[in-house]
Amino acid sequence: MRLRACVPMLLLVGCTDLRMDPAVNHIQAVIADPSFRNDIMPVFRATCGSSGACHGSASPLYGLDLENDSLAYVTMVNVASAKAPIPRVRPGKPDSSFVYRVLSPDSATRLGYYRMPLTEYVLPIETRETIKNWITKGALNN
Amino acid sequence: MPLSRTVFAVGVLVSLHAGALGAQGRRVLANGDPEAQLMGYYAAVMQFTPVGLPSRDGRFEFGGTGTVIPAVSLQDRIVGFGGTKAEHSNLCPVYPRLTASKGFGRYGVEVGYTPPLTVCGAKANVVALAIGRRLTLGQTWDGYLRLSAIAGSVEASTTCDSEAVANPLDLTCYGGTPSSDKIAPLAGALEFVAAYQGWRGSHLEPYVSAGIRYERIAFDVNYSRTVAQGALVSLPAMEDHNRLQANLARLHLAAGAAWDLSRRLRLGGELYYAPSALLTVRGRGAIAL
Repeated sequence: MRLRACVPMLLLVGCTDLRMDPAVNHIQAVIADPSFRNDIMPVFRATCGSSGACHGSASPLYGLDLENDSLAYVTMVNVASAKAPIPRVRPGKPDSSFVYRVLSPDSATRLGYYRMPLTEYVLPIETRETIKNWITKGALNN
Repeated sequence: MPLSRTVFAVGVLVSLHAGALGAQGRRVLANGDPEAQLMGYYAAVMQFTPVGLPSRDGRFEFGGTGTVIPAVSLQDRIVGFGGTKAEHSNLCPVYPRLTASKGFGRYGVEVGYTPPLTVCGAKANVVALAIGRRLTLGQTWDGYLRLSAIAGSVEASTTCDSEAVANPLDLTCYGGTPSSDKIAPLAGALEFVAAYQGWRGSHLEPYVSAGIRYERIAFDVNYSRTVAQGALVSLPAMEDHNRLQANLARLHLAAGAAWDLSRRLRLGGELYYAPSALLTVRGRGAIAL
């Protein structure tokens, strides 16, 4: 609730004046030709790789480091997945990229693996499509 | 206040805050980070504002204040994991505090304490201290320069409460042990109060104030889903024992009044606005001993 919306009721209960912009909302519309460092990594870092998270640099699960840009690239692109018979990211082939498939709310698409990130809400469709576009465009380290 | 008592009070504040240390990892949040904003919201709720100035006649007053805590929308609570995890932070509708104050001529000293009682699933232990000095601005206006600080902690299950660990859609919390989290604010504020003296015959003292505050807020996450617990719900084990820290410097405004209802009973009310945090009301009642 924003400040302007609650002036009439302020003497009764008050109101919040928070100005939130979570990282997953930074991609408002699908980006056709996304940058790995500027568009993809901020999402991976915030949802999977921040310090203490499963894929943080301190102890990256299965060796997949999603906190550091350069380590994320070399531990993800053309690297075999520890949990599926497809690479984590196969350039040009999002449907053969496990990192993209586990973002889906559909269990069959995820090859039966847990949905990532392990939270209440799936990544917004705009974010997932942007990741898909990054892989389709060759998963460049740009 | 004698120097030794001041040193003692500062020592109490620092030691209370140091008691919150102990989490394994630490992540310092950027000021605009939504998690920092949510932490700052609750620190603003706990800020120690005067809600009416200490009595000018030197009497000792004991009472309490209550701050309305507006509920935070679900949208504004989805701040964890970059914006994919909701915090369960809407617990109590009011933040209570016991207060005591005494005037010493132009000076005033105020102490506040929220004792460690578990209410609405939250257990606070927060100390507050303020000192101030009245200044004469004119025939009908007094100024009051006030320095305040709060320190302590509030423990609650906000990352994964009992409802979240029973929710199969919450893949972070489902099947785990309800988290034991702690928010520990350490904040200082400097504010200037302009109090109108023209209605003293009606025992009413309205005022407006503006101030700046610095908050160093720690949030200790303490959540576990063991391998055995995870196996029962077909989810991996989770261990989150990190400290999030936010360092915020912000402005606030308030307008209110103190009213001497009788010779011994003093009431106060205040409209408080902290930009980027909240707009709320505080009330105070105190008796002169």
